[in-house]
Amino acid sequence: MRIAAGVLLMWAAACGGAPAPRAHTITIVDATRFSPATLDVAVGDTVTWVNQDVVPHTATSTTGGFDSGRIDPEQSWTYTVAKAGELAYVCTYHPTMKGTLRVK
Amino acid sequence: MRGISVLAVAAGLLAGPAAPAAAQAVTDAQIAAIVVAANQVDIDAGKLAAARASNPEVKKFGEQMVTDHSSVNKSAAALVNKLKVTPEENPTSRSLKEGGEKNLARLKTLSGAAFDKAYIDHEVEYHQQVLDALDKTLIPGASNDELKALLVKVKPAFVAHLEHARHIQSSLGNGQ
Repeated sequence: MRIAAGVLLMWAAACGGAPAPRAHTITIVDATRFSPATLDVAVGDTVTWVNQDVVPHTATSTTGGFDSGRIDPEQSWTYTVAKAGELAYVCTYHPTMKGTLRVK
Repeated sequence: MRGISVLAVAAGLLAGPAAPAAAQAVTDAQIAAIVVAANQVDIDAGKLAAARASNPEVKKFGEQMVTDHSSVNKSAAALVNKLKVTPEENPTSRSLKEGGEKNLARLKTLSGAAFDKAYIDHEVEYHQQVLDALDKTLIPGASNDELKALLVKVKPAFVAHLEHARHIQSSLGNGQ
């Protein structure tokens, strides 16, 4: 079933029905923000959070869509966007760090 | 001369932001010892809070301090190792440790809401003092570029901790 959906997705992409999935990067430079804080993505795209800070962080959807768990310094975590909508997320360790994925 | 400057740093740390700007004649080896001591003090207090706090926010904050300051110390240790600097104890690092021990001794006599308040009040004060030391002494005093860069990089986490601690402090003050 999943394979069929994947084939369908590739077929749609090949026919120009949908653009090919893109890879995005969000950088965590310090404990104050995600950069960029707001990112426009499409279903099927990948988003990689790269932690360049000296302390661990998370990227955790506030509505339960995704949760990176702990991302240690110099580590990263990749999420394949699964559904459309505005996905707000925070770092659960530093709740003042907020971000949004705007999924088309 | 160096002794006097380091004492001034110690005075700055103890007296907080109101103290006159300290002189900058600390060596990288002394800065390394100060960084390690500053983090260790907050790790120890955080461990106690994680075990003893009654308010869940305070408990979580304590756990957070253990995580973040351990991580900073790991980065600091890696850099110190790479630069082949041997941390050199000095009045500031010693006063930080003594202050930390006094704080722990006091916290251990408290429980419940009194513990939570005393811990958070001290965290606010402590992070203010460390930020002040970073700005006035440690960052300007670091001669190695990588050490300076690490100190600059660490600062936003300390700012976030201070804001977080203040937020908890105000919620505790509202009769929770």
